[in-house]
Amino acid sequence: MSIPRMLLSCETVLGVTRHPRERAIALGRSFSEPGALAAAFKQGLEAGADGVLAPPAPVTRAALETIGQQVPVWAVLPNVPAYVRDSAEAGLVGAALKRVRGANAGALARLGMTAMRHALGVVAGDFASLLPLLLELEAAALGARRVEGVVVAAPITDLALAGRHRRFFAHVTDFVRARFGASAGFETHNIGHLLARLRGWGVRPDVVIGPLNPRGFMMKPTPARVLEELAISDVPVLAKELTAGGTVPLDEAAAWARKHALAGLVVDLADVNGDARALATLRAPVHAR
Amino acid sequence: MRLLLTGAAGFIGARLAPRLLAEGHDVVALVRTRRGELRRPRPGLTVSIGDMTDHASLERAAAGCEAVVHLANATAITDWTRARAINVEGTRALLEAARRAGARRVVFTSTLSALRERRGPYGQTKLEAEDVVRRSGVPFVILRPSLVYGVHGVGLVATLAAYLQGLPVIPVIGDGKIELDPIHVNDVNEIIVQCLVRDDVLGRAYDLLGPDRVTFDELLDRLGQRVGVKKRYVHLPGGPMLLLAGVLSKVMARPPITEDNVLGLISPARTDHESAFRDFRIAWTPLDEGLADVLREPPTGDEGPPARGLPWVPVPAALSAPPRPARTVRVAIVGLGKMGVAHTAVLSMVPDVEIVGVSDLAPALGKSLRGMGFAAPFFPSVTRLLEDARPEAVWICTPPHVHLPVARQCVDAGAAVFIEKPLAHSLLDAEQLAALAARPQARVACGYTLAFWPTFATAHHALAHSVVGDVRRARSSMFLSQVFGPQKGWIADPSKSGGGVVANLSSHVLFVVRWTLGQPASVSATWKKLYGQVEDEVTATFRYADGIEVTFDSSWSVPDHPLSVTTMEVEGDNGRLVVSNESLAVDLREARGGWPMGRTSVAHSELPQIARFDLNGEGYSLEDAAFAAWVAGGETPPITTTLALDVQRMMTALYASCERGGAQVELPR
Repeated sequence: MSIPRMLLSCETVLGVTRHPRERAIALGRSFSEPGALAAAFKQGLEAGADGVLAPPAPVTRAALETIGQQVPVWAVLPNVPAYVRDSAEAGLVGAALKRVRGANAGALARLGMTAMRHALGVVAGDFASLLPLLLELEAAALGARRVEGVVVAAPITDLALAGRHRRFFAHVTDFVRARFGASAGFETHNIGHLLARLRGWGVRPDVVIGPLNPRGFMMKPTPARVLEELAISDVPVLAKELTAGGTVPLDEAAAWARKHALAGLVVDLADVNGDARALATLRAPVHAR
Repeated sequence: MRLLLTGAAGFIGARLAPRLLAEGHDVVALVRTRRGELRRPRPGLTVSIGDMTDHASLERAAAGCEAVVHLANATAITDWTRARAINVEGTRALLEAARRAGARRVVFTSTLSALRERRGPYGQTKLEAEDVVRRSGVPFVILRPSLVYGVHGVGLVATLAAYLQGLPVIPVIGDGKIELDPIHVNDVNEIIVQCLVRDDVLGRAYDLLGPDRVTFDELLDRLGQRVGVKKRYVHLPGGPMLLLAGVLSKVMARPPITEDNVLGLISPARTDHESAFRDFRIAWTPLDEGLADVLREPPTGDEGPPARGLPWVPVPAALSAPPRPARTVRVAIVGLGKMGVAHTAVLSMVPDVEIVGVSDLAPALGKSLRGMGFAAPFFPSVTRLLEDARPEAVWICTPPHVHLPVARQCVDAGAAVFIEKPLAHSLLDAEQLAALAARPQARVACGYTLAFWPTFATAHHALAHSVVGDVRRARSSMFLSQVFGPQKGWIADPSKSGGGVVANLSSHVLFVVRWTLGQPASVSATWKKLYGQVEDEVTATFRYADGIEVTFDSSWSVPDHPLSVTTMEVEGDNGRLVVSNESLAVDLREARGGWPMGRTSVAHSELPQIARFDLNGEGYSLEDAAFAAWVAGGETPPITTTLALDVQRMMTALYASCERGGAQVELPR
C-alpha cells in the first residue's frame, strides 16, 4: 500500500480547527455548498494531492458524490463531534442506531458480518471489537467509492493509547487492511507517545497522522521527544497542524517537514486560504524514507 | 569483539543489541529493515540489511566478525519449504560465511519445540538447524529457551495479559496442564553474553528454563492476579485444534494459529532442567517479578522542555513547566461516564499517578472501561473502593446531585476530592461541599478547566496585573453545537444536573468571570428551553457593586460550533483584552504589565504548551496533574472550592432571575 505524500484536508470547513474562528467561519461559508467543496477537492488532486482526508459529514459525502469519480479518500473515522452530539440526544446506543438506520443494505450486510466476527469481544465490552462496528457504520456514512485508507480519529486513538491497548492498535490495523483493503492509520494528538508505544509493541500501522510543525504546537509530550521518536519511527508519519493554526507560513512549514524527513503532509484548506490550487507550490513536499 | 547479531530487531535481539554494546562489543546487526532503535546511530553499532534467504547479504554481514549470535528464524510459519529455506539453509549459509570470515564461535538459539514428541515446521526445522550448527566446524553453543517473556506489551505473555483484560472467557488449547518454565528475556540475554566469552560451554546445548515451573492455567492465574481479574478458561481439545491448524495452514498464508502453536500447548518436551542452572550462575528472574515487568511500562526518561511559545509574551509562572506530583499519588475515579473515562485516560498518562480503583453503580461501565485497556480494579460501591483500594485522592465524575454524598464519604476517609464541574446541583449542596473543604487537612477542588487553558491563564495573569486598567465593562459567551432535540439521561433532569447549558457547559465561563473580575452583586437573565426541562440558551447581565456590567450569552443549540467556543472581552481605562480558546488580543493605550502599547495578538499556538498529554486540549492534563501535585504537598491549584462556590451562587441567582422573567436578583452570600 502506498503512503500518500500529500493529502488535502477539510477539517476547518467542518469547524474542527486550530485556525482563527473567523477564518473557519469564512471557509465554512465558502464551502457550504457541496459543489464548492467538490471543486476544491478536484483542484487539490490536480495540484498534486494524493487524496483527500475526510470525515463522514453531510457536506463531505455530498462533495464526494458531486465529483462523481473515483476520488482517493482517506477516511477519518468516526466523526467524533457528531457522534458526541448525537449521543447527547439519543445515548450511545441511540447514536449507533441512528447510523444503522441510515445505512444501505450492503453496509448492513457488512456490519452483520463484522458484528458476528467480533461478537465475543463486543459482549465483553472490548474496545478493539467495538470499533470495527463503528468503522463500518461511519464508512458507510461517508459514502466514498475509493477508500485508500481508514484513519482512526484522534480522540479514539488517544483513548486507546492512554489505555495502553496494544491489541486495539494491532487488531484495528489488521481489520482495516482486511476489511477495506485499505491502508490502516491512526490520527493522534499525542504523536510522541504513540510512536514510542507502537515501536515498543511492535505494531506497525501503515501511517500515523499527528500535529507536527516548526512551532512545536501540539507536539506531545514535548517537541524534543517527538523529533527523537520521528527519527527512529518504523511507521510513516504524516504531519498535520503544519502551520500551527495559521501562525507559520506553509512554505516554511513544508521546508521544516522536508528537513525532518516526514513521509507526507496533510494540508488543510485553511492552510492554503481555501485555494487548493496552492498545493502545487509544495513541490516534492517530503523525502521518501 | 566484533560480532554478528542476526534477528537484531526481534523480541530477544532488540534487547540484546544494547546489552552487547554496553559490554563493549562492536555489533553488526543483521535485519531485513532498519527499524526502531536501530534507526538511531550508536557507537559500535553497524546495521546490515539482509535476509536469511539472501546468502550474499549474510556474506557481507559476517565479514570481519569474530563471533555470531544467531537469533533470526521463521517462527509463525506453515510452509515447510520456506521454513527450511530460512531456518536450515539460512543457518547453513550463515555459518559458512562465518567460518570463511574466521569466526571463532556461534551462539545459536534453537527452541524447546525442537525437543517435542511431535513437531511442526518450526520445531522440526530448528532441530535440523541444530545439526547444521554442530557440523559447521565453528565452535558453538546451542540454547533452547522456553517461553521467553518479560517486556511490556510484547510476546505471548503480554498477549495473554491483554486477553485477560479484554475477553470474557479465555480459550485455552489443550487441558491447560502442560508445564511451562517461562524465562525472562534478560536472563536469556545474560546467558548469551556469557556464551560469547566462556570456553567451557562450547560444544554444548542447553535448555533454558526459568526458575518457576507452572502449568499454562497456573500462568494465567498468576497473570490474572496481577492484572486484577479472574476469568473462566475454556479448554479446547488439542486433537481437533491441531487438525484445524493444519487445515488453516493449507488455505491461509498467515493463519491465526499454527501447528507449532498447538503442539507447544499439548505436546510435552523432554528437557534438561539441570545443566543451565548448574553452568550459568546468574540472578534468575522469579516469575512473579518477571510478570510485573510485563505489566509495567518502561520509564520514558527525560522528555525535554515543553513548547515555550513566543518569548516576549508575559505568561504566568504556572505555564513554565507542567505540574507533577512530588511522589506517587494513589488515585481513584468514581463515575465512569464520559468525564470519568476522560479523567481516567488523562490520569493514566500523568507521571507519578497510580490509579488504584474505579467505581460506578453500573458494572457495565466498569467493563467498558476495562475494554478500553484501563486495568484498574473496579468497585461496585464507593465504600468498597475506599476500604479496599485506599486512594489518597478521588475524582468524582458522577452526576452533580451525588457529588456531596460521595465527596463526604471520601473526605471522611481522608481522601482528597476533585469534583467535576459544577460543584453541585444546588447551592445548598455546594455550601456543604465548601464546608467539607474547609475541614483541616481536607483538599477539595472543582474541575473548572479553563484555569489551565493557556489563553485564559495568560489573560488572568494580564488582568491580575491591571493591564487594561480599571475595568469598565465586559462581555462573555460560550457556544456549542450539541443539543438539537430532547436529551436523554440525567443531564436533561434539572433535579440531577442542576440545569442545562449553564450548569453543564458555560459554568466554565462564569468561573473565568469570577476568577478574573471578582464576584458580581446581582444578575438579570432570561432563558430559552427549546427541547426539554432545562435551558438551552441564556442571556444575562451581571452587575458588580461598583457598577460594572458583564454580559453573558450561552447556547448549546447553535450551528457551526462543533467545538465549544468561549470568549471574554474586557474593556478598561487603559484598553481592551479579548480572550478565547484560540487567541488572546490586548490593545492598550500605554504599555503595562509587560504588554506593549497598541494591539498585540497572540494565538493559542504561540503560547507555552506544557501539558505532556492532550485529550480534548491541554486543560484536563494540567488540572489533573496540578491537583495530584497538590495532594502530594505541592501548590494549591486555582480551581478552589471557594471560587466554585461563588460560581454556584452566580448560577443560582441567574436561574432565579430567569424564573422571574429577567428580574434583577442579588447573588446569595
